[in-house]
Amino acid sequence: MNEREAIQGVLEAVVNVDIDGVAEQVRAALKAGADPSAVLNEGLSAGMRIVGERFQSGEYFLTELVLAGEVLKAGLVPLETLLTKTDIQGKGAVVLATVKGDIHDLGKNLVGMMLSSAGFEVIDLGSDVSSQRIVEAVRKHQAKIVGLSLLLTPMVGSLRSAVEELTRVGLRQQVRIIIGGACTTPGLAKELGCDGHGEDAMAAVYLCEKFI
Amino acid sequence: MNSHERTTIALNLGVPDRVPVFSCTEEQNQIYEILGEKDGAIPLSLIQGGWTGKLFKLTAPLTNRIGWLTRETEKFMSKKLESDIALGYDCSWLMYSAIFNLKGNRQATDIWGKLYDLVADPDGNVDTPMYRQGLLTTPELWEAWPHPDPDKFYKTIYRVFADLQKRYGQRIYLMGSLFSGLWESATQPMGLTAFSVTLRRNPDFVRRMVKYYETIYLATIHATADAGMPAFVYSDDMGHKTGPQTSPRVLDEFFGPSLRRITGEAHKRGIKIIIHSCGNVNLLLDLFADWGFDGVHSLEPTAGIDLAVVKKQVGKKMCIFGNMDISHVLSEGTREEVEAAVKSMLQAAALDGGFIMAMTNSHNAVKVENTRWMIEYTHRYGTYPIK
Ligand code: B1M
Repeated sequence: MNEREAIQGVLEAVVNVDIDGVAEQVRAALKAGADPSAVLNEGLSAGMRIVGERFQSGEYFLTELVLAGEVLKAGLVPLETLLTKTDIQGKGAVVLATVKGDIHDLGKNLVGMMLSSAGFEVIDLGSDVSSQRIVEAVRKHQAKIVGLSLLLTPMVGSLRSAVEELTRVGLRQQVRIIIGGACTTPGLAKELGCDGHGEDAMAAVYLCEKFI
Repeated sequence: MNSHERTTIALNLGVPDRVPVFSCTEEQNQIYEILGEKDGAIPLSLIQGGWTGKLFKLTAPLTNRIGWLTRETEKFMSKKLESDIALGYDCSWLMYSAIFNLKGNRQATDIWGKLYDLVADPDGNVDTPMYRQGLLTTPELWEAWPHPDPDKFYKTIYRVFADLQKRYGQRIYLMGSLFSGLWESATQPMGLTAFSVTLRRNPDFVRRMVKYYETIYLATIHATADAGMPAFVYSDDMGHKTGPQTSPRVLDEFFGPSLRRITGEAHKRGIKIIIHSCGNVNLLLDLFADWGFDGVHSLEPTAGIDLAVVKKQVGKKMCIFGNMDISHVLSEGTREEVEAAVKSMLQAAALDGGFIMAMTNSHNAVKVENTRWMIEYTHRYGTYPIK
């Protein structure tokens, strides 16, 4: 098996969400002489992108998407000591949170997973997160993108207050804010002065890539 | 016609005198506003602050043993029904939700193995605690959890439902229900990620787990029927914003057999059974009918559900419930917007009967005034024959 075929094997393991076979494929690729960063980018990450697209098109469901996240983790194990931080998270930091008062976290987790597989450093603050914590995290990690998830209409105010707080402390100009989640729309993003709205996890990746 | 006759006819896909209205309201702020009463629950500040907070923390195990939270929740279920009657609903979703145990004074667990934070929403509601995580993230943890015994569970549900049916059942058509259906019970205590991995690696365990929840549901169906309630809402969120959470194939293979037995048992006992699922369930509608459900609820317009399409697709097999938007229309819409929404829903799904008006879910920002308008306009425009 040559390098190309071996990397293709990694990609297919991800696309087929083969949680128990992916590490073996990664080892085989390394053995065939593939560069670790090529295994990551052209194998694991490219596979994740296809999984994301299949989810977007309705061919895959949430269960496949979250399983793919675990496949990615399993595939990264043999690469761990071989990759530098730049290989893995070279596209910069994204601060991610579900806003205050809202605990729906599945969508935010998926967005985080797709962003890290696309090479972003994801600072996941969890759910029910206050505006202050978002500001602190942006400062600490010098993030250029803030991703906010919201599913509850009664908590639109929390989204608004996060944007206002970033503005108040003078960070608004240096970050792009994207939003998503069940009760969000492109109209809401515009109304709150955000920079983008993601209908699904892949859309969030496209937006972040556009912004860097 | 009274509420019972009206609801029964609609559930049988017939044409009653007018479209019945179904209540999903379960938020304290709205219930006490409707009743014009002060919220009777002990405020969270007392449970968590000062010396009373310390006392609650210390005595949480004892409080659980004497069933304090259970009694408080059961009292609240009565208040909910009184408010539904006061508002003029025809039928009500009566969720048995006395399933929580205090964990100290800041968190609670439910009997299925989920952990919650006890916090108030901006309107002071604490009745829907904040789900934090599942505690049963592996099959081993699941096996070790003290799951409720179905026979004991039957007795608890029967006691509560029989009492509520006796006190309120003449005035409103009651539909019993239980917090967490088979899909939610399988995925939330484990977490969706651990569940998805287990589904792949250990499908037999998933089958075993689902089978256990089936026994709980069968016990609940019997308790509902023995209590004299005419219907049951099987509540199980299988959808999300853009589609089902898992494939229809997985749902049918792993959950379908149990669901068929549950609906079969309900029918044997002479009660109607309605499925509630949030999110985009377009791909699941035929399955719902196939599994034997008599009605389908939620049908969220903001999750891509087109009521007219649903009616056309499954309206001859299931009674259509819901579709009233709570993202805008009932939370910030004007009177005119509520009127327009009611009219368009009636046109889409009610003309030949088999339709029950309902909001898609409940949250603290739904306005009582808008809810009153929804009922008023359904009465006005939903009288048969609908023009
Ligand atoms: C940063 O950039 C981006 C870009 C894209 C982004 C993004 C960020 N974030 C998300 N995306 C996008 O990418 C993701 C992948 O494609 C997608 O993310 P989603 O988050 O949309 O999708 C997830 C992957 C899967 N989707 C979900 O997990 C949500 C599914 C539904 C059914 C849902 C669930 C599962 C739950 N719920 Co709740 N719940 C509903 C939901 C129905 C719906 N229409 O979505 C919704 C959101 N819930 C609702 C309600 C009312 C509530 N819920 C509540 C509780 C719960 C559960 C705990 C039971 C559970 C959450 C479990 C968890 N850990 O998250 C309560 C609130 C608790 C709280 N304080 O937050 C409660 C208030 C119910 C109650 N009365 O107690 C409704 C909100 C209505 C509204 N307009 O406000 C609701 C729409 C259902 C309905 N019928 O109306 C995209 O939106």
